[in-house]
Amino acid sequence: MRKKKAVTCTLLAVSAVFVCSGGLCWAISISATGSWSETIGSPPPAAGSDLPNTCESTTNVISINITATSDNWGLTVKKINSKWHDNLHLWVKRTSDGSGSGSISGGSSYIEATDIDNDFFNGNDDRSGINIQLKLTGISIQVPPDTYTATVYYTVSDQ
Amino acid sequence: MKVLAKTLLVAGVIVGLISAAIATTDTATSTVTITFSEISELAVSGDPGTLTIGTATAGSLPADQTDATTTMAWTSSVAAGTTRKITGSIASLFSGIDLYATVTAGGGSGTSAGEQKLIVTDTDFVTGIGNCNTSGETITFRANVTSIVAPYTSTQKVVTWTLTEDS
Repeated sequence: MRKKKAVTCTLLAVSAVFVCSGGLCWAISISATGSWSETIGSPPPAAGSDLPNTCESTTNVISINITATSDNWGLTVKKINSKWHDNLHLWVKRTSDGSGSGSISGGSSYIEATDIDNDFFNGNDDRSGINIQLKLTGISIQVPPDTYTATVYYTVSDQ
Repeated sequence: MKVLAKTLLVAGVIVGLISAAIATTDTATSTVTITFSEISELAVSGDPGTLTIGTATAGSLPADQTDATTTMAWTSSVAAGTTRKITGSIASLFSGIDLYATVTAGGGSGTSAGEQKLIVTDTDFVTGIGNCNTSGETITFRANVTSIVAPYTSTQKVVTWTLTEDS
């Protein structure tokens, strides 16, 4: 009986050590601050003219912090619409590296946020203050006056 | 051997639980809110040329005079299910002359009502304007002499064009 217990404990300990230090998985977390609100058509275009096709946020409209005990991570982005118009497309790009012990790469060109996860950028260890800029395209007078809302999901995963 | 198998099974379950407890993925969100304002913009290119009522054939009224040198432009966005229209009116009538106008409306920018008489109350010239922008729509004025009056010169009247909600 004692032998059985000892074997069990040993296996558990080995397993825990393997899981927590062997690279299988790591505690990782992400936070995002900021939101983007924009009014299109104010001021209005000149009579006869259409609205500008594109609208960009400030370069730091969203700030992302990633905490990763260690190891590499990748970040994906997607958009879930609450109310949206088919003509409109939302794009995201990373405008700063942020700071921290880790490194970061990719995402410095716009990629579209769609309803499925798309690779955005990746890195390792902790990075904080990663600035994100958003862009809306497909703007035209054909889009009926209304308020369109979507939630952007930033998901960080171990790699 | 049985003991070892059981132990491995228990260990596997616990490893799974530990794995689940340690987050390998996390998600943060931000909100995007885009408001499209209603737009109602109308402009004309300028004043039409002077319409000069000239000589007439004996026994007839002087011939109509027309001008098609000015254009109109508009940009409109309206809530779903609603439309706009362009109305026109003249501040006061010319003595002995009726003034008519036609405003074109090309390519989905509304429906021209054709030639309409300008009177002191609003008259529809283009209807069914939805979400569109257009420019260079020709305004054609036609002065029609209705009666012989004493000659007068340089009488200007203000024609007002309005882009408004369709009733």
